Amino acid sequence: MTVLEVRDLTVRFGETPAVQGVAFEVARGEVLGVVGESGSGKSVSVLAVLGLLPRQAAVTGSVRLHGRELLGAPEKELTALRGRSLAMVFQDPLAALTPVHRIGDQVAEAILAHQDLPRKQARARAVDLLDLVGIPEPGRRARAFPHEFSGGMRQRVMIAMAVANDPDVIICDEPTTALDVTVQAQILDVLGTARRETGAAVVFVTHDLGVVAGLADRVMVLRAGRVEETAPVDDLFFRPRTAYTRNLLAAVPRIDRRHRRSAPPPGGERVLQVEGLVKRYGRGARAVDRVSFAVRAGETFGLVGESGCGKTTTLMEILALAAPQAGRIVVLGRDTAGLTRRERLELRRDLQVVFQDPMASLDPRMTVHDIVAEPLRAHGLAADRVPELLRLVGLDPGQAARYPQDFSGGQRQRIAIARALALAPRLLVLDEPVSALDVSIRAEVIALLADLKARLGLSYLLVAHDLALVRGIADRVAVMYAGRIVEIGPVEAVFAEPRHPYTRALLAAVPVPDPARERARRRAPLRGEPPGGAAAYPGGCRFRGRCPVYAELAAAPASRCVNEEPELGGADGAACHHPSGGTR
Amino acid sequence: MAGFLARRLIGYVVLVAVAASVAYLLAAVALNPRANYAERTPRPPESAVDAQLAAYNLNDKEPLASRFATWAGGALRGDFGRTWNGASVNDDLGRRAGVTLRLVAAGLLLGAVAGIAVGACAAVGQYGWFDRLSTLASFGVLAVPTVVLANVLIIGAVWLNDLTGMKIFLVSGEATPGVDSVLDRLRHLVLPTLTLALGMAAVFSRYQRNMLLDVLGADFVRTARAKGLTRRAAYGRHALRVALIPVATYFAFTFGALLVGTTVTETIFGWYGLGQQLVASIRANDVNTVAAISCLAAVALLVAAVAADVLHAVLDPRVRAT
Repeated sequence: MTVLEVRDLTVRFGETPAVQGVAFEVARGEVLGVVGESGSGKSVSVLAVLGLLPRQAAVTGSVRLHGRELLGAPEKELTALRGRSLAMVFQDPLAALTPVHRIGDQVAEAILAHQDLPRKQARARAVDLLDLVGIPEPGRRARAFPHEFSGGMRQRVMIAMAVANDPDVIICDEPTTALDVTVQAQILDVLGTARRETGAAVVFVTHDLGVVAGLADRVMVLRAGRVEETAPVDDLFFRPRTAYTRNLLAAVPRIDRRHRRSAPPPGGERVLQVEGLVKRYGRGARAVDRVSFAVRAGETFGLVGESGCGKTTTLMEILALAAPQAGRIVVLGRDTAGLTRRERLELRRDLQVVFQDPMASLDPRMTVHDIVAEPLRAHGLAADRVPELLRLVGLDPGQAARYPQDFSGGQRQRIAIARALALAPRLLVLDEPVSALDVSIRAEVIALLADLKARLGLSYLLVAHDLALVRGIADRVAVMYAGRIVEIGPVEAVFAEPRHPYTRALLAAVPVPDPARERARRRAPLRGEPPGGAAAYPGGCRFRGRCPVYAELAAAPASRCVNEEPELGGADGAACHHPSGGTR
Repeated sequence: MAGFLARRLIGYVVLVAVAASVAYLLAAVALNPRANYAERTPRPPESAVDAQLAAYNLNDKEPLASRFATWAGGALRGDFGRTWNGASVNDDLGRRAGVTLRLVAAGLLLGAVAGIAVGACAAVGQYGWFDRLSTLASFGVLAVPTVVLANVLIIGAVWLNDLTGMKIFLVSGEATPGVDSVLDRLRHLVLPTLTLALGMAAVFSRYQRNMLLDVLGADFVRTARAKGLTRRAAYGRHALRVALIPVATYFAFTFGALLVGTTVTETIFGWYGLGQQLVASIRANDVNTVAAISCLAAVALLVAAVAADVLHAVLDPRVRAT
């Protein structure tokens, strides 16, 4: 039974159409995945269904809910439907909750908007809903404010609000994009629960083809505001009809596939060596605790982990080129602790960085030429290499007089790379270099990085949360959890035969763009959430609270996990007392 | 929170002490109370003037440090000394502070409430007729000096009085001498309050409009609408509630600043308040009064800062932690 039917939906902002002739329908209990890259009109389409676009948007076509036309319906009627028949879960759960109201009150508000209940009863129902979506101690947590919740918990609250009035349609706009993979797996689970409880039709907007593969019954691909194709999920992934879809699928890095790569020169010199690095902020717990690894010449070393695990802190400590609180950092044979100001400046030429968000890391008031020339000038060098550098990253030197905002996201990241290369560094630190980019653009930038590495003999230290990307381009990888490296080794060894239970869980949580494999997968999301930077750790293994292996151990072997902190054996290995126990 | 406030408070006390000391030293060096006696006819003998000035701690023949020590000792006990002709500074300022407080409280409160309402309506209907009209009006008010604004109001009031043949608005002073009724006070209060409130409303409306525009497009407002809240409820309970936080801080600071900052309004309407007295005492070479009002201004501003912190914490749970 079709619940929601959209026909010939067109949305214009001024003259330019953002969405043109989009059509889809969803039936009760069905999940429709809507995928597309940024600017494809996926969010605009679903907001148009809810009638929540800004007023300057002109919407035409037809949106029918249970056969009733919504476009052009009086605002009063729409208000009555929103939150009752049509519910919505938004992307960024921090921004989507009002910061000054208590969680319980915000959920109760969703109930009170449609049901004539005493306030007290609505509050009690809100607590039940928080319990349903898996918030521990819902009665106490209902009195907390949004900033006291983690990202995953906030998204659970959003889902609780969405299901508060037993809706017919739940629209989810990138609901897991801002979350870590293990938390994403939990939230997808909760959404599944919500769907079963309400029997609602679900429209799931995302750019992540892996998520769609495991969740959707049918998929609609949008491109530049138009429907590229709509097909049952298996057909779309296995028999895509359009070239665009095929390219989109091909551009997704796959975590479940081996990658052929030219092996780095074995036993090359160590360009970076970190030994027993410690960093704590104030009196808090150690954000980075006794971390050791080495990057060899010509190698790409991946540092992975979820938010708050200490990977960015590790990076910042290395980039500071100063004496760490404890431990040693050796860059190109120079111990950073003993550097004079002058030596530090010189060493900085050899160590450069590319940040995640090119929009934020490029000064909008500087021309591209000035941006790329800045490191040269800072080191007292002539800026005549700028055109050459721009050509190197595939940009037209003729555009050097323009500003960052005149370029697309992928081009901006190329500018950032050109700036990092200006001083001809030997080690490049890449901090989530492509996570702000679309899938197809991502592939281009990754290819560029691989090409530059080969041509210029660079070494990369890559920090990323995208495990598929790391499998695709890294030679060696270290997995961090709660400030420590829990597993380290050659990338194929770690990904194909992970030894630490955390690594296994992390890899298992990544959805693969293959519907058959996703369906076949035994879903057992890791419980709990990654500990934040400020959490204090008791003795023993830091992961045991969430560890599936520990949970099933007998008392005697388990006591080792409680009393003794596992250490990495040597250059490769896992910091676990029972690396082969439990799940295998 | 309490510890945080206590630390802030200690910092503020130090700041007040520094500000007041600097103000006293500046006034003692720059002003010359002796000149007030020199203009008298018959001119009093120098020894008599010395004795008189010394009695009020104003004698410039005494070292500055020793005068400052005397003043500071008094100020610490809450005694700001004597005016140049021997009256108690404390008594005078106590009276005047009351006058100013009544004026500022009414004017600022009215202006802030009106400004927030106008700014909120303007933001919700951005680029609509009300937005354009209120923008024009507030820039108009901001462009006109207070002197002109006050006199325009007076002219309008007199015209209205004439038109109705009744004395609705009274222009001079806080109350008619000899009459002691609430109505009489209110009739005196309307015009100066309005002068102050209009200026405040103009500023607040612009500020509130921009703050609200920043959050109207926020995700949480969209969430509120998606829950099924009406536009009005979503804007009121969610957007305005959040947009009020910075405006409340501004409100607290304005209150502190206005205590000695309404000189023009006080002067025009014959309200003998602190602002008017500050200017008058500088003219009169009245070192101790100038120092006392400066000290009061510093205290007022820092009390306002504490109030702003408290208000911020009350309105925004995010800053309450730790």
